[in-house]
Amino acid sequence: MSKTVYRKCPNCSHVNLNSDYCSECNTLINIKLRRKIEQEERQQKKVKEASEKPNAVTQFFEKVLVHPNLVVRILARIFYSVWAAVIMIGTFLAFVFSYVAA
Amino acid sequence: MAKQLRYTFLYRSILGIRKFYFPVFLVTAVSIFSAQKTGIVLPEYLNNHVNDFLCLPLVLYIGQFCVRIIRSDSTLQLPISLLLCITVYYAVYFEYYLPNVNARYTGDPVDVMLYFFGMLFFYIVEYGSQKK
Repeated sequence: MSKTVYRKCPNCSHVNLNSDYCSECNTLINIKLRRKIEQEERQQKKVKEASEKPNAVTQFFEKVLVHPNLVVRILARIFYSVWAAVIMIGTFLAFVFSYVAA
Repeated sequence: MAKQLRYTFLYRSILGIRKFYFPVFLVTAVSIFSAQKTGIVLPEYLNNHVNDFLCLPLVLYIGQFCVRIIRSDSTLQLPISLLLCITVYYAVYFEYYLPNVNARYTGDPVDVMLYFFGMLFFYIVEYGSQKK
């Protein structure tokens, strides 16, 4: 004996028979399915937040950028800057190449 | 349809190159350098020019990698002005300053061109396939 389920759409009040979505306005009317989708979204959001959490280096810089000592703050700003970091790395590698090649 | 297929093929090729170019370039550069140091005779273009082309992609990749770790942002892109700045710096340092200071080095306009081609290669492979 198949199960007969009537669901009333909360959006348009249309009564649907054995359907997860309202045939009139396509609203999700199956509560269990809605909860499952919401749970999956929450899990995906958690995974995404965990992956976006800054690493130890970034956390260190974020602390040092607000250090009470002005000199430390200035140095942190210099090393945290993309331009400064890449130019310093490029300069270091240029010196290494020229030293090794010579 | 043909245009779409060509675009997809090009896009996939760039993605494939992006995965492997750094280790391949690194191994090639080290091999050429080792061959030069051990006295192995290489063809002229290999001995004089290939490492100049490989240099900038390697340097820029290392710089980008370090900055991405510092900033905890795996999608961070280096600005084109910074790439040009580094390229000009390397061109001036290796093709103008060092030849004036050390007799071992010689200034060569072809090498300057290869630095810029290397920078262009890095830009196209790393950022050329980014969808806007």
